Amino acid sequence: MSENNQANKITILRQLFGDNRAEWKSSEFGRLFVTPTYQTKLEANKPCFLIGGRGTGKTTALQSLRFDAMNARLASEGLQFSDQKCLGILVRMNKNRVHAFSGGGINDTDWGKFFSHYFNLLTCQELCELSVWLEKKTYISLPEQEISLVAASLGFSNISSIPDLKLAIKREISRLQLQVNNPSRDQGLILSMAEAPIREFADALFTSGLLGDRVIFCCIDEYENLLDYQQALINTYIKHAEPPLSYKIGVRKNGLRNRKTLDAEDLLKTPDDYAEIEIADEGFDYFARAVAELRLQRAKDEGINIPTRLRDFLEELSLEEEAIILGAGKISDRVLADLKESDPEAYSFFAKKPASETYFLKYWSLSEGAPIQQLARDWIQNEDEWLTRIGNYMYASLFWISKGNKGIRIRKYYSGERTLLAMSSGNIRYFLELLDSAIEDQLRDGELGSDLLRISAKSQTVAARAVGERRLNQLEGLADYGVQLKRLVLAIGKVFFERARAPEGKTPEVISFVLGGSADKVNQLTRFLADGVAHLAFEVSPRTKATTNSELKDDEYRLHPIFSAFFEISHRRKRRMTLDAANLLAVLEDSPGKAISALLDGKEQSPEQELPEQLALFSAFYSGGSK
Amino acid sequence: MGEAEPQTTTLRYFDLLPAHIHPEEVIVASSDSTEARGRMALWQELAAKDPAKVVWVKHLSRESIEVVHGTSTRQISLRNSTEIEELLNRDQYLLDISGLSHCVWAPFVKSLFDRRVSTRVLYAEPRSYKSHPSPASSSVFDLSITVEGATPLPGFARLAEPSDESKCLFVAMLGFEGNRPERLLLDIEPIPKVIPVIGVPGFRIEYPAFTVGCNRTFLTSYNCSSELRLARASCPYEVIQELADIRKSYPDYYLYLALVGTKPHALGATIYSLSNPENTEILFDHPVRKKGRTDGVELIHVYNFNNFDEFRV
Repeated sequence: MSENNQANKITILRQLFGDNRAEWKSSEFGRLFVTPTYQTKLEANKPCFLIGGRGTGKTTALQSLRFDAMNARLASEGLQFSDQKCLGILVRMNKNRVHAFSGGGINDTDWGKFFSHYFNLLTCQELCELSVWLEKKTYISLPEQEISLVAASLGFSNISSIPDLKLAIKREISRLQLQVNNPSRDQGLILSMAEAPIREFADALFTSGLLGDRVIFCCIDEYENLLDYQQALINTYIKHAEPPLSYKIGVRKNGLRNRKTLDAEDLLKTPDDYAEIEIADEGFDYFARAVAELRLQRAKDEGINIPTRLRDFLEELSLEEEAIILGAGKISDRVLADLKESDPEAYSFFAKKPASETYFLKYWSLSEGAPIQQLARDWIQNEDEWLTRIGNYMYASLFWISKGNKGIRIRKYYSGERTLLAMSSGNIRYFLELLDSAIEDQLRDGELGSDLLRISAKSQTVAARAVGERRLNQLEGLADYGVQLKRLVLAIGKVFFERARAPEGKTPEVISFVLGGSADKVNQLTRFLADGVAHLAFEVSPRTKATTNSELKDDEYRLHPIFSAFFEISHRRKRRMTLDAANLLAVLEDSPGKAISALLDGKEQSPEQELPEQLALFSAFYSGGSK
Repeated sequence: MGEAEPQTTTLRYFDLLPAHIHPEEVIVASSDSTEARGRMALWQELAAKDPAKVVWVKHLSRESIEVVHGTSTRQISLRNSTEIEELLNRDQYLLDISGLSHCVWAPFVKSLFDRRVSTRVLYAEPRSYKSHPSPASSSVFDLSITVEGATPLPGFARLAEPSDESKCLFVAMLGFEGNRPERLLLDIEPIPKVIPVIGVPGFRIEYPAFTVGCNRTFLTSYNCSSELRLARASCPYEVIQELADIRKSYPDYYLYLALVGTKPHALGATIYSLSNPENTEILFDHPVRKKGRTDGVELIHVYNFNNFDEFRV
């Protein structure tokens, strides 16, 4: 393979997985778009809220409904305009713009009038684009009279063509900008009625025959950016939506803060008024696999020797293989040396066993505080029981195997299709980022040769750690309480890291927690954690079972599994512990080291030189205020 | 100073003296700054002799201030251009922005710019920034409690969407708080190309390296190190020039200007935006500053913008 050819193939591969929003390029849309499992629900006529965190694919899904994107998608399936049942328009609620409609001594009712005018203008701007597109598709022109009616509903006179309407809208937005920047000075705007021009426009498209029997989906993205009064306004449109107009809303979890409508008595309700699509509940694994495999197929089509099944692409280690790689052999040798001296019969029994079983005696010995010889005898007499025990605890023991081995670069592997899917936890962006980083690591020093490209467990692990670190660092900048959240994640991750490596107490797979302590402190912390859930620092689920009376809050939190490799903890949801809210809040102060020690009930923390390199980067935080 | 003084220029002082203030100039300064550099002793001295010489500004909220001028005290809405015009109704102003937040000085600069009022702006460098006792990020300084989030600076709201969303740039004036630019960037869809601007030379020789370190994640995440632009940390003119150069390279692009670096950079970007309102948008996240975030006063810069005509397009 020539150097140029190889570089070209690497570029193709990195672009396929590296550009997480590849779907957005219209030329690629049809070829790379994978229909999410919820697409049928999304394309139903009823208004709906598409709910998911950043990176779950909301925007891409809404974008796929836009009239031109959907048409491109249909074309790639051999279908045509006549098969298109809906026509989406997309309006993004940019925070910097919608937040301008507040303050200045003006009350929300008055701001509502300006905002609904703004929303009408933005939406009609998109409807103009749709009209031009429809005119080309149907060879029907929108009559001048209809255009002038739409224009009149926006407060414009003497407008009878779409280009003129577009220009008038642009000018009106500029005038509205003057008004918003100087709200106490009346700019003499004629404000349009809530939703009236949008409905007028939709009806005009219908009566003039441009729509046919299609429905217009007004897709509103980033709904969480709207202020509460603005949500009430849009909620009213949603509640009273009628064909040929419907609404499709993209919103972050907990982003629908206000269910009121303009008529305060009349709340927006599901399922009466709209359907809810919670992306996390919609078959993520199937969808993510399909996205990855379509891209693998594309790479193969481009001449790269690559498997098209994800599970073939990602190397997965068995527990036994991983135990050996992590150093179970050396531990097993020490166990055997010990038994050879003290119990030759037990020695000959275990000498025949693989190292991936024998090392477990040492783990269990530390866990139970019992001598190896005694456990070895017990094993010989109750082998079935021990094999069950290995089955139950082998995964947990993997976190301990490398403890004290300072030279080792990887102390726990995170590899294979199932692990990467679990770490992504419903987030397609995380999943593609994991794949892209793994490919980057794999190809960093090596070549894209003629052999089948397969991503090693090592590269997947290095990638998982790097993605976790990136997400951790980004957290600070994303959330309202980003600075606090990063400190909380670092502290909680460190607590779980220390527990994972300690066999005592057998709680290595603790990655969930409930809050305990005073109600006041719990409430203070809950505010941060709720922000953390919205920004994927944590996941939350209702608590399954109370363990102590001091657990006051019902929610069970889990560190987002994308951080698992960074903190070298389990990515599986297994067990929880109670964390004292006061101690957790203390990590936000000047002495986080002391607070973490308190969270570990005074148990000693790993010395700095034994920390994995990615955690050692935060030693200034971990040693802050000393331990 | 004197006849040889160019039209627009920066004068730098270690000790600001009464002789450095123009006789007709009215000073606008903070009355409640918690930083030493925001409480210039000279202003007290001048106000003692002539109370009308200094307009004292106290921050009340993101949109309102209390102003003491001479014997009068009044509240002013920063979203009310008439009230600002009535406050700044003299012919010459010296704005001391060292102790004023962006949401105060930016609408003042806008008002003076729009009315072509002769303006000088003063900025005092701090001697040092407060170190963080237990940093959890590459930011070694402890400057803000939190950020209130993206909301337009008073008078700087833009409602029009860029005509082509694929032709947008995010120009970030970077500082020591590496967590701030990304949040502003992620409010934009689709994410535009990023051009970082770093203060070189910095207030101190090591500051540019600190800035890069503090923004390491941002620079690598958006793969923008190759687009790095440099402008003296204390010079608004160099930022204006850099932005003009960026505009030349990307003539039909819409520029989002993220003010997350030094105040002189923010000042330069603001003036550039005032000159190019159709294709620029200021982004600001309103950090809540920690008390005593800086210590001492170092070099004092006085920028003369005259009536801003040199900066109009």
